[in-house]
Amino acid sequence: MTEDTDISFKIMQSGKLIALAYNSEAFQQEPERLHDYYFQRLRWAKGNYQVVIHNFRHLFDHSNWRVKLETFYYSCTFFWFNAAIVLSDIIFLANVGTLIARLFNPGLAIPFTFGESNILIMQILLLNWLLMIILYVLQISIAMATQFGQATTGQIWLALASYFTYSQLFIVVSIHAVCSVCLDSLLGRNGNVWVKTKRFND
Amino acid sequence: MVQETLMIITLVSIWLSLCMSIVTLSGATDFWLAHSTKRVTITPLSRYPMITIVVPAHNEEVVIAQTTRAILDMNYPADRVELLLFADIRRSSSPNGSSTARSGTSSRSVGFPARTSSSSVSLSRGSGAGATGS
Repeated sequence: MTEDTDISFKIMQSGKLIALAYNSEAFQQEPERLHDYYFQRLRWAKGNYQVVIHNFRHLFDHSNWRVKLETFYYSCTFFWFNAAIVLSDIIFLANVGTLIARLFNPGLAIPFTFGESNILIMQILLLNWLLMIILYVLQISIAMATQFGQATTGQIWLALASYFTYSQLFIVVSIHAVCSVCLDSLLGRNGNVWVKTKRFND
Repeated sequence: MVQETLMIITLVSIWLSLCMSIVTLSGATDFWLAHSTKRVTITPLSRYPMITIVVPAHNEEVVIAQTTRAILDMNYPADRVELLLFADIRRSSSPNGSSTARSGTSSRSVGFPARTSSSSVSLSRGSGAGATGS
């Protein structure tokens, strides 16, 4: 369902290289409703999962090294790192939930902690989180800086806000995509149903 | 103990993912710094082969005129471009979008392939398309 990713893998597998036209500009119409946006990204996520699963065996055979590297990178991001983010969200929510419950029942112990009195490690982890958010905003700012007129103060604040909204939506999208891909193969469903993205007039 | 192991695994994984993003980010920054100041000059090609662009345009009638215009405005002679728009099983029966595209780009070669049977698609080429793409 992501024929662009799929064809890139096929080209790399055949030993050919893909040229980068770094000066080219591309425009696309973004869906204007959350529902349309969600299902477009879900289709993309599902398609990428399908490509990675399909190419996973190439990690262990005599494939082109570029295919191996790309499959390794995608596998890490899509399976390992995504799982880590979901785990850390669960840990975070469990702890916040317990903290709220403690207001009513002070006897409760926080489930995930390296010792509640360990202020130092708490500070390190908080600083860690702050650095992560800064890295995220930096990534977006650098991308904006390459395009004339994009890197404005308002846009950078938007980037910060997107960490807590847009990025969180993608956790839901990726979980939905994994479940959908798994159910497709378990139930023998055809997972390639194309959800057409609705277009809008200007 | 289980909780602590889980936390450590999660933390180490996230740190590794951060390392990975820092590597890609510095690579991209390095590339951009080297290339952003380069002046790009576009020299004419020695020959302009006929190229065919295929656009899957299923239910794209709202934006297809814009898309067509943008494709034909590319930095490539429009008379060397053969554009094929595929609009299969349209949701609405009125060919509004197609006629807009047709009237806006009458001098260019825009093909409107017609579906003939369930398995084969015949390509009707536009007037400007002389040779087939190599």
